[in-house]
Amino acid sequence: MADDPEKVTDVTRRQLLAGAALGGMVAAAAAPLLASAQSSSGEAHAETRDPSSTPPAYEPPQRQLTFSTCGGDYMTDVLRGLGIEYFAATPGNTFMGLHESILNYGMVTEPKMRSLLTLHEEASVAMCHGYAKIEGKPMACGMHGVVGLQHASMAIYNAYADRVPIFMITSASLDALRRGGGDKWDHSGTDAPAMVRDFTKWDSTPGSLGHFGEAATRAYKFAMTPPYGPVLLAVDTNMQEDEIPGGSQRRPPIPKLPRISPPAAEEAVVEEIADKLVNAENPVLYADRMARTPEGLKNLIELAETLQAPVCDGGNRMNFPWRHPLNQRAQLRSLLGKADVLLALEPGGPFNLVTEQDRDGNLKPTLPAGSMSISISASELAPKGNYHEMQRYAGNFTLAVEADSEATLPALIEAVKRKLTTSRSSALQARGQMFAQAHQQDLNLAKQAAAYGWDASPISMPRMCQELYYAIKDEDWSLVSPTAFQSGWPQKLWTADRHYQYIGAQGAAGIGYITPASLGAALANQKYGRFTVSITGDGDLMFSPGVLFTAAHERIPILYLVHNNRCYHEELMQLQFIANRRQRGIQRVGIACDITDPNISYADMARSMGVYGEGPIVDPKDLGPALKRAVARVKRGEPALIDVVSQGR
Amino acid sequence: MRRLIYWVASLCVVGAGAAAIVRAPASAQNAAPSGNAMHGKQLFALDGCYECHGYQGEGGGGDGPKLAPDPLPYAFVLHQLRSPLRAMPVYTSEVLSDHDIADIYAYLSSLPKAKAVADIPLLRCDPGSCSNVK
Repeated sequence: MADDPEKVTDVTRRQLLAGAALGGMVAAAAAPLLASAQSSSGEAHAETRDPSSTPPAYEPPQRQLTFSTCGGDYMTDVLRGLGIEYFAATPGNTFMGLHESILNYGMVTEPKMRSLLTLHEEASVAMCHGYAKIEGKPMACGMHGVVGLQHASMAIYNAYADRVPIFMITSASLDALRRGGGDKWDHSGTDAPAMVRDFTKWDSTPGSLGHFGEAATRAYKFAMTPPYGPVLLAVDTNMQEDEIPGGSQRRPPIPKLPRISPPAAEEAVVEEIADKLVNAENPVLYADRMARTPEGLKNLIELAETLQAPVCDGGNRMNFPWRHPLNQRAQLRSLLGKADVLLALEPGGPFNLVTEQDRDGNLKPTLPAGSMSISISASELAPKGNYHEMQRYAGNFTLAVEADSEATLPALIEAVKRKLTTSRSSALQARGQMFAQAHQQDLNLAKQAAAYGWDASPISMPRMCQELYYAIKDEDWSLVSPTAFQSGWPQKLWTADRHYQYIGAQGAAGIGYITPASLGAALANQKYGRFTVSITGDGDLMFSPGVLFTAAHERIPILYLVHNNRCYHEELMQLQFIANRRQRGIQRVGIACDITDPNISYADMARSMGVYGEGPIVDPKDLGPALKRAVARVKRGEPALIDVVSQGR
Repeated sequence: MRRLIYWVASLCVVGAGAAAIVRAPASAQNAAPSGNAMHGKQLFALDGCYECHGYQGEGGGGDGPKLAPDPLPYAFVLHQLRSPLRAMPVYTSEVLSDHDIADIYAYLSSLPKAKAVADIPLLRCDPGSCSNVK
């Protein structure tokens, strides 16, 4: 057929591409054409051919093959109306009606959207995850029907557990009679969003374009109301591709998105908390997923300084400056041990905050008897039951305020200020000085600890982190990877005081998050001219190495440092624990965990996809110069990767 | 250092409490036996000590405390291996003999002292206050 295009003038290229799936429809429409083609080939119906007869003239059927309005364009306008700037997708032919509209309409008319090519749906969602934590709003992603959504599911779960807004679109196929054949059936389901419903905040399968507009606006509103979360629209493939029913005159209106006021605590309970904090001798402020925006960071500083109270950061957001004198992250357990009031703001693991459990399962409270423990958290305002990301029930809390912490802080600060007398305020200053000394002491201890193994190879974590810090510290940097695998050395040694300088962790500890989420964060940072850096693991990188292609292809500047311990190291430690309990030793556990034999050359892998790559760096003396070269590349707008052969933790 | 002190203190307290349950090996009562540091270095990697404590026993952040230089007294180390506190795997004599532990202890004891912070430019200054330290 491709060799004889003259024979198929009535069939558009697009229909040809979809021909296999359209099956019966195309077969019926093209029947005369096929009969003609087969007759001329002499391969079919040879026994009925009459050499003297003339084939009847072909009369094309009267069909509308083009149109000037389409559902996809309307959907694009809805997305733009919501302020969505980016659409990340691995292409799939069940959402091409929308994808084509974004490419040929959304990307060339104002306000312009940008479509980004990913090589895996999990990467699309994780990019949205990282983007939202920098930008404070969702970007969109498209996922192929059923199989694309299945690919994406772990990343969706991470985002759900991390309370992050993501705007996701997958396909639906509402009319089975227009579904075509083969893969169109494989890639549709009666209720495909059901597979992720337990870990999305909301989903909808709209039945009309007008319904799409309303559902999209509602979805965005839900995503952006604390607790934030991913939302999903399953959009009928035909609705995307067809012209707008009734033409442009019947185009549905674009619904308006209202300003969203998040749920704050009621006044009486705010007054009660303020009373407790002002009169406490040993208050502790704990913040985890609190600072949704830079305002959260600013307000927590104000509350802590007003009270001269210590702040311990759970590490899932940039809640408090790392070198603020009241930052007592290293002293959490000892502070809890003498606390009379604990105020926990959006704690991700409230049970573990107020309870200690040993390996034999014995429990004991972390706070002294008679203390008051208060949580302010929106995470329980939209509970679901199947997955356990909420962690164990924390029965030790005295008061649970079901509200958004960031939205509650301004009223709490005002109440605290009203209740603070001059004499009380003066007394609190001494407390602040004590914490300032403790903070400096912890910093000195961390430096001493960092000096051990400083010249070791594989390279130690503090050495790797400090080499990185001194390579970027004069840039407007943004560290967009979690630090647990580096034992939190950046928090121990670096100075960070801006909201975008740290964005926390995976949410549900799902590996394969760091590399793509970092790229999404870099995308958000790109328009502000920030320098994005990510410490990714060798294990994490290999879950989605295609992200490096996206970084190069989309010209997104980012510096990846590969913490290459050649192992799934956390699992190695845990396997060792189990093997030793069984008295079998650990010599064989590496079979399950070591990423060796062969050692992967991550720099070569990066270079193969257009990313500047160096490594493996084995000698710590080589790391600083390599970083300097990579930083120069990133400042030119390129992605770069340094492979650092490093210690496990 | 604070962590080290806490760890030693914990060992002392729990060690006393656990005496009735876990009998400390006879060698724990004595000073460190002589050992082969080179073999100990190999065992430190083969038996997975490096995973949490780093290849030079420098410590692995929250996963394992610093072991070297200046390791804790041999009796404490032996007791911690045979009856560990916190999240450390248990090393019975089936997995690691007293002789091997002596070799590992010899390796830890052989490690040189760390550089002084003042001699490491990247650690010398307070973060944020140093520029062009190299």
